[in-house]
Amino acid sequence: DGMTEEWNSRQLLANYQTKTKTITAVTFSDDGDLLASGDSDGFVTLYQASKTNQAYEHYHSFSSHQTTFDYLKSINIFSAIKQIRFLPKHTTSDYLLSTNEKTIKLWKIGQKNIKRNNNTEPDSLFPKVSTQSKEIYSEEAKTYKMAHEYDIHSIDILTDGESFLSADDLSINLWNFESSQAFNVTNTIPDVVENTQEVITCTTTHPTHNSLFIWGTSTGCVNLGDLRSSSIVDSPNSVYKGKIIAQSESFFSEILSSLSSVAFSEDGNTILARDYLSLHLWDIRKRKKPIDSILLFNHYRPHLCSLYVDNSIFDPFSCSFGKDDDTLITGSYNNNLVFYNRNTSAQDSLYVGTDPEGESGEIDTENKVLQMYLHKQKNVLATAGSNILSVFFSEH
Amino acid sequence: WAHIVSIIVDQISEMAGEQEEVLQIFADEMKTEDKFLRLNAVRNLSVVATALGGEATREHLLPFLQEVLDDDDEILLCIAEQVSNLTELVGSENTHSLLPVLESLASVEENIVRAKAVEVIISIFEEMDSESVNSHIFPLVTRMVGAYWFTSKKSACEIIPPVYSRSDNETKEKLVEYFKNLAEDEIPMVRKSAANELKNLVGFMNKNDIVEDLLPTYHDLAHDDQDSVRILGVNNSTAIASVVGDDNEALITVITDLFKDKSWRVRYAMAEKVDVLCELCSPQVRQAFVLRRFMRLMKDSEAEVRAASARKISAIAKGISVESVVENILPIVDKLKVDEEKYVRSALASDISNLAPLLGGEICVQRIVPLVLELLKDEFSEVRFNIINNLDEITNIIGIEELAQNLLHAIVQLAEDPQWRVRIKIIEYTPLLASLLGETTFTERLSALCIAWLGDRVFSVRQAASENLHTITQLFGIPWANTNIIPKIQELAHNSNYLYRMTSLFTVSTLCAIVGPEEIQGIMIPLVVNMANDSVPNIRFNVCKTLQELSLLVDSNYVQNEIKPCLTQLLEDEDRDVRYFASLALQKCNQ
Repeated sequence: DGMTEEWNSRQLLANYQTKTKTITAVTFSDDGDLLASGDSDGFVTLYQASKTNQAYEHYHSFSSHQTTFDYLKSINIFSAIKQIRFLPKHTTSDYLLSTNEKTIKLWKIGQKNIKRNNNTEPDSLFPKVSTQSKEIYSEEAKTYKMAHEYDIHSIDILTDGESFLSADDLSINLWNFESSQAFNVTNTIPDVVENTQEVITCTTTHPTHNSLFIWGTSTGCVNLGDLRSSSIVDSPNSVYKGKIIAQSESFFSEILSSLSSVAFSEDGNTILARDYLSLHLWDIRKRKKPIDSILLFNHYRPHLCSLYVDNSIFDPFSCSFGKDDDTLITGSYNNNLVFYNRNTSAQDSLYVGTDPEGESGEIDTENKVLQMYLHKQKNVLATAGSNILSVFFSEH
Repeated sequence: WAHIVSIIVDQISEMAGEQEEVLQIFADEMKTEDKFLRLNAVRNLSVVATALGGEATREHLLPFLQEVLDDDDEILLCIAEQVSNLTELVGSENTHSLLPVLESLASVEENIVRAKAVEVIISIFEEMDSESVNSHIFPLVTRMVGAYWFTSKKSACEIIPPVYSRSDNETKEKLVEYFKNLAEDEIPMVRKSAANELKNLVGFMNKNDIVEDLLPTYHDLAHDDQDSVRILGVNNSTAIASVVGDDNEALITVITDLFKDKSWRVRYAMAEKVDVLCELCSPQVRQAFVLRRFMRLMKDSEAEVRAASARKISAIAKGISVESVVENILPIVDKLKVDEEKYVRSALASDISNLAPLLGGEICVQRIVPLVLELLKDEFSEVRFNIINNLDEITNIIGIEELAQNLLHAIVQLAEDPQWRVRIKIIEYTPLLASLLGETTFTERLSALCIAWLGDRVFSVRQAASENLHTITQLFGIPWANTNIIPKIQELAHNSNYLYRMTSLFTVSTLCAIVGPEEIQGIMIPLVVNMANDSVPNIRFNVCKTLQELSLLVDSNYVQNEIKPCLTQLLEDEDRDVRYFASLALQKCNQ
């Protein structure tokens, strides 16, 4: 239990009072200078690390996506931001990708000098320009649309800095930033769509290798694809599939094995996957058996029926490695962020809510930590619990 | 022109009063919120500069421009374009004063602006004298190479080759040093830029320098982590090979590695350039090295690579002996023709016929013809089309008889394909087939088809069929048309469906351009005039349109006696459109 003690300094960045507006995406820029959060109304809010003290200040917000209506299918396309990813910073402006369920947009966040002409020298009428202040603006640089039949759930940028992947339930596309054309790299659509047994639930790219990426499925598989091997990665290059830790096969077995998120370790050799009750660790070189499967949330089991009824069983919790590869972090209910140490098998919780409550046996599904992002170099942990966005600073 | 400009300038100066006011006006316009006003102001930059004159431009306008460069990309692009027009104004010995603005623009994130700025810098550099180059261009390159943001480094990669070509030996060494550093930069996009520019640099270097200085860099870039960098090694290989020759071991090693690269995209790029490479090599190297590698590509695991190499078969075959083709390439071709990917088969079909002239009659009959016949029966229509398209290559060697039977079968199948676009395509090939088959065979087997197309369900097909008849008539002559086509058109004119009657009308107008006056007067016009009483208004006004065209082809007496009465009758038609077209036609007749 000492794992969460270091995260003792907390800054509350946002606390939405309305239940309808939730935070749906959280990410840091590569250097940790900017923190971006996306919400269900399609807004992206940016916070910048202060230079003077350990805090983040509001930098800019803009409306990234609006809810639109698809006339052909007679359904709404919601504005909720599914994921945000920063591009590596290469000029004074910042670029980020933000996506809702159908359209991905590249946003440029820049600073404009507000200029004044000062004619300070009376004998010269040539204007001198001076900068009074900077104004931050956001501009939609590119739109990547009409490439996904189903709802997009993940995007991730490849290490060459020039391309990115976007994934929906049955396909993954490769885009080049400059062009607006997508190339399909993975397509799991069966001949008859109604026969779909397995959907893609999450995707992420390898941290260092340009051609590798993984996707998790609803049957608990992690698939590794290599963009070099063929133009369409129809069958994954490696599949990591284990047995579900189930005392008995139950009605919920299939739903419980669906992966909600996958992540790579910093060196890219270990894969972390989260299904509803457990975390699974795989070494990418060993496909037959996971390194470990950690049943963290067995206490949900008695409540599965009610969790199923209110749809909480489908909550997409994210997961990540901690500051070193021995610590694993994932979100849960009651506004708790769960830490797990692989060496000691110890578990600890960090409360990220605003009203510390007493020990309650109830599982509070209204307050859950779905999004989190740890920036190792800057020692900051950002968490989004439904409508609360906080950052935690480590004392180390 | 100069005279007019100077008048305008004088007037502007008069209107503006002082030079300062001109700049003030410009500065104010650049402050506005409205992007279009700013854009307009920038478009008139040369006017402002002319009004200010060379000196004031250098001392005040250009520094001012430096301050307003955090603007919209569209405006920045315009600034870059306008600056390039200022070279004459600032004076040819002072063009370096334009460089600071361009240097800033060359570090912008947006590619179009950056590329334009680089282009302008290079064009200014080309006109500069050597002293200015040393005192201004070289420091500029140095700054860009060491810049913080990667965009400047990208621009530096593009500027180094032309600057190298005009530098002394000492500077050349430094520039190569810079280039090598850029090729090792930690940001992939800089390395990609370096890889892209390597071939241009090679163009300016002599063989020894390339071998000593550039080969190691070329090697490293071709083994880079990123696919996008390695892939550029392909073009660099051909550039270096053309200077250094094919016996350099380091070069051969890199090329071998590229052929074997793990990423299919790199192998694909090699497949596309393998013919260029082949040509640069001596016959022994071709046989021993390029051919072996090419054979591997034809058997590659990735379909795209196989398709790309299939397109290069004849190009490679040109460079090696006939025996070698038969022994090495044809066996693999036999496998490709049954490849499970239709695009591979399609690519093969588009190139296979080109082998015929290289192999000669006997081998052609033995090996190529069976191949072609099999591809003609392929289930994917594009494969069949690609064969038909290049048939003349084969028939030139062996004549049409061997293929005729199967060819006709394939054509008939395609002609009845349920997809209308396929039907149109085969119609487009018909004239070629007609010339290959000769009049007798064609008339026997295909002319009925040509007429049948006139009755297709789809309008575009009917239209294409009409035009086809025009081309065939040109090929075979009017008597042929008289015997084979015109009777059928007359029949069509009495069809119960008005759409087919329209088709016959349309065909008449396309044919009239080429048939003789006897046909026009004896058959065509009477046919058209007959339809003036048709029950459908569309037919009637098309009659007017057709008569209008036909009237140009006959003498005025005929027009008076036959055409005008018909049109006059239609002037009284109950349908408005008919009356309109009739009056239009009469107008034209009267002219």
